[in-house]
Amino acid sequence: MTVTSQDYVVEVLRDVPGLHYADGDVLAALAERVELRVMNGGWICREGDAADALYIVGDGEVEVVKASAGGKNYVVATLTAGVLFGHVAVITGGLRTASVRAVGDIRLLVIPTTTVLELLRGSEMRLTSPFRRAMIVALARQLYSATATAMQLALDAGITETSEYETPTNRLKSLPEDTQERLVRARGLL
Amino acid sequence: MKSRQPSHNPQVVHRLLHASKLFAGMPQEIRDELSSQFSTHTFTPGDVIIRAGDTGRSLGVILEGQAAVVARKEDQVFRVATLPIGSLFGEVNFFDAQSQRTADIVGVTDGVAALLPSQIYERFAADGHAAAELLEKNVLHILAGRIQGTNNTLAELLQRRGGGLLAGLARFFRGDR
Repeated sequence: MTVTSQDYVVEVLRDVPGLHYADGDVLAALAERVELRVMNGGWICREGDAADALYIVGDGEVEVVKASAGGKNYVVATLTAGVLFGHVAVITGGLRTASVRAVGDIRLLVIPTTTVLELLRGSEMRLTSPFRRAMIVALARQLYSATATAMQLALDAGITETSEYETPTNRLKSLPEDTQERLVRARGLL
Repeated sequence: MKSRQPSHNPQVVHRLLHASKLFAGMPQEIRDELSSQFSTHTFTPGDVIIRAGDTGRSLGVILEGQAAVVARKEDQVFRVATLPIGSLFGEVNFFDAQSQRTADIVGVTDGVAALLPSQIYERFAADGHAAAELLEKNVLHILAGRIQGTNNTLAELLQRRGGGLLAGLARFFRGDR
């Protein structure tokens, strides 16, 4: 079910980190490019699908679901109002890395991938700059989270800090070579 | 951290900056104008280049040496990432003043960092200057490339891990900082 409520969309957009720099008329112009979706349960996107949109939770909660190798679904996170998700696959051109479903009644902002890419590539600074800023902040936070998680997992796999600021080079070498290379390429861990 | 003056003349700094991905695809006049706005600072192992909670906003590039992103949690120091030459830091706070710095940037070796104050970028952005647009696009491109690599690594590490899989995934998808 789709409804139009531009004022509501503008208010949700205003709370997205990076977008609060935009003037009201810019947020209104962005809101015109956003679909407001009202849902009562149901899947928003599925793991492995192509990314056709990014999403911002307006009201309610959504669950991030990962399937195990055995096919069982696990809820790995719950996202609440104001959280932007689905942006990584949209920006990188990758596939969805998890499924997301609505928990009961929610309102969701949906920005199609084509619109996202137009805004990111655009040169009309007043409109596109705040959107790019918001995407930079979202990506940088996700990168921080992913890197921290990868570091923790690497440490759990046998790498420990040898001193407060010393790179654990020797411990890293205990990982398989291809893993080392990817780890190094990801953030320069050596 | 000390202000850098002696051995790095502006031409060397500009050359190092121009070689970074941050300046990729920029016309020469914009490269020159933008790079002249950076200040350079030396660091030694253990020097805090940017401290969690600092209100100052700068976009940093490692020009020489190596630094680390270091978070502190319950009196424990946790290295989040290592920053080799060419790495960016300070992006979140630089582009969003309402975001707080949540980690220190600390020197691992002797090195040099270049910092761009946010006021310069804000002025360029307000004026619709192409430098702001190209800076935003290059930062997005750099972050997108990094996150793809990190996600691949993460997927592999999660696959290797047994019991803590869900906790790791939950942390990732919540975007914990």
